[in-house]
Amino acid sequence: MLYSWNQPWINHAYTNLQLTLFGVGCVGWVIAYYFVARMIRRRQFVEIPWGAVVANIAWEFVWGFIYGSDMGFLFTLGYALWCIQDVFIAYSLFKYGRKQLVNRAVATYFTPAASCAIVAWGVMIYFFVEGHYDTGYGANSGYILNVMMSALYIELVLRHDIRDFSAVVAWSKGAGTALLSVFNFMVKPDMPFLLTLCLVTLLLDITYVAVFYARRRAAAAVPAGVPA
Amino acid sequence: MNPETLINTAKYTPLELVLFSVGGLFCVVCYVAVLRKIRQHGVVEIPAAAVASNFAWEITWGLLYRTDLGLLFVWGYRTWLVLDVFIFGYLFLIGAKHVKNQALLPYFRPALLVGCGCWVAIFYFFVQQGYDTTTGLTTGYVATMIMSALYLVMELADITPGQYSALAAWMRLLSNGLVSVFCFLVYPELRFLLTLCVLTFVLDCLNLVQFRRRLTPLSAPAPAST
Repeated sequence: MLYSWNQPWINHAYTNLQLTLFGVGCVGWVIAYYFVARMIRRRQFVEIPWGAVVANIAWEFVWGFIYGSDMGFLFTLGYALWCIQDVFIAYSLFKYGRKQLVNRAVATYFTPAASCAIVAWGVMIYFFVEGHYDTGYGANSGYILNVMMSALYIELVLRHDIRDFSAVVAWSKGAGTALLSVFNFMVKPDMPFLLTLCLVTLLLDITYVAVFYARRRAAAAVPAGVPA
Repeated sequence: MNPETLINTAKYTPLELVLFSVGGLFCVVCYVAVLRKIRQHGVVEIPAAAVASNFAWEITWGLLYRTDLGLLFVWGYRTWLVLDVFIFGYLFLIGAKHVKNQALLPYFRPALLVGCGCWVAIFYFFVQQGYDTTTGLTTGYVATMIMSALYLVMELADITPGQYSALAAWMRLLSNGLVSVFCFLVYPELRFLLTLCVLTFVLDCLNLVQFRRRLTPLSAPAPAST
């Protein structure tokens, strides 16, 4: 549905349990974003893979400002607030995102590439929703991005200094997404495509937490002064 | 008796069928060029993640669903699948030389298999829910765009340019381009698909530009010694 100021704050077609699950799941992501921002300030590093940041902010803009969630205006506002929160992360990406690149020689292209990618994702998601591929609250497009983010996180944490990654983010994004997935299983049991994306994301998030702690242990085992 | 015709001329015009056929043939040439490079250098030039999603698409549309373009095209999709069996097989056996991250290598084979399995499930249910076209091109262009984007990322990384096939790069551009024209003719209302077509075209052009730029120093004459 298109953005509307006349939308009720909460759509009570959803049960209280479903609304609570979704709300708490979203809070998990707010916590994750807060700790990502804290890590940026502390270590000048954006731990979310750059390919996921550009897609994420595009999704939040499309769903927070162009389309609205059918769960109620409160949730549409929540998407918009995510977008505003993500502006800082995206800004930091332009500032520090080059540190994620394997080949530093391509850093010259980073700003134009990231800018074009945000626009391209915005257009794709806009037409994805317009073409009725999505649910009323953006779950299909959101979970496509989630799968991508979770996969890229594993690749990044395997090759980067583990001190630049937050355990709170690992848990809060994993738990937040898991709660949203439970919500999807309750609300959309007839959508196997979405449910498959939920399961794939869960598998990737569990793998990420396992890899995260394995890397931390390995880093702790290396004596000080020896390069990891 | 199977009422499926060899070529579905009832639904598609001759121009549309020719565009798709020639695009499909160029794709076959692209695969053969990639296989030749594998034999020459022992390197699979297609990014590993793209091989997994592409192979999954071919399993989905070659074996689990059938295109409504006609029986000839059903077997065309299966030809792609057979060619991709070799590419996937080589990748699984010899690994991806372009995976520079040593920490990833122990997980490479299981990740490739699990990744491909996940993609099959994702594509299968996307089609089952009626989101795809009857030719499989929405999922097809998702896989294609992933490949084109990853190719560009890899081109920008420090891969030996001589291990890439120029023929494959051109064939990919032309194949995707012709099938995109088919999409614009047949599905003018599917703007999501058309966006994927345009973005893939842009990425393929950038790939070719980047490929030529990286190849130029190799063919340039060596400076005279003093």
